[in-house]
Amino acid sequence: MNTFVVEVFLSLPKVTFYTVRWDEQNESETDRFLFKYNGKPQQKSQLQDLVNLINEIGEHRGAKQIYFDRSANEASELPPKRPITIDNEIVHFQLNQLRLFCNRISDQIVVLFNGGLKTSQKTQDSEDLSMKFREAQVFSRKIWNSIKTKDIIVQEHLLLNPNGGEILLY
Amino acid sequence: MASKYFQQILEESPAESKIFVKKYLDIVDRIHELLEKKGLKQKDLAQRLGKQESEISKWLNGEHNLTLRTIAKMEAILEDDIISIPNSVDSFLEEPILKGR
Repeated sequence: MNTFVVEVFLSLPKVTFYTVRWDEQNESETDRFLFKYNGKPQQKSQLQDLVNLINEIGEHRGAKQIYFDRSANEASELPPKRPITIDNEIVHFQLNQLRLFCNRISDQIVVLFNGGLKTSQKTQDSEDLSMKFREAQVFSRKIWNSIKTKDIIVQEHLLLNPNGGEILLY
Repeated sequence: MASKYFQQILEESPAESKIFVKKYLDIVDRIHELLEKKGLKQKDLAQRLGKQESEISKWLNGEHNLTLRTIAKMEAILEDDIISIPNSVDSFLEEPILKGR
């Protein structure tokens, strides 16, 4: 897998939303998601709801755990019932069929990835969505490992490179 | 690099989108507030509704539409208003026929 950058997507009063961008790409994974579905008339209104959801959470409420659905883990390698919370849990925003995968770091920090359209009951049965979920898991695992090794510092509403500069992960 | 598209999509979205999201989150917040007040978990609410916990999650996370009937059922169990209308004739607590259910 190539290198990717973790960068600010949207900075709002209650939440800083980060995203990931492949080093050789000009657009972040989240912008690619927005661009794709904003161009599809059938999903445009769903996308607008999703964008308003992110905005409302970021502007006024904070990234409370109760807003994030865990059912995406049905497609994960994790067992369905677990005694502890795994840090690198992928959750997703949803109000409709569109899924935007993300990782909630804290009430003040969320990392957004890519996503897609849920066309079947289970994520793993929607091919494109399943692939995006797997990618999100890989991104998330690397981010959380970097937090644990202090290659990324969590400081209030910010993710920081302790050496300064952008956050570049392999 | 900040988002190229987010602000544009937000500005182009109709007022109903913003209203829908705000009210949905208000309802989610209120349900969790009432659950905490009554010392219940989501699974307890599910059990009392005769539903699977996963279905409650889908209501609260927008995957399934939260209907007025569903809200009424939850209000009956939680014994308090989840939503209230300004200047309505009676709130939940003032309706004696509903107490004790």
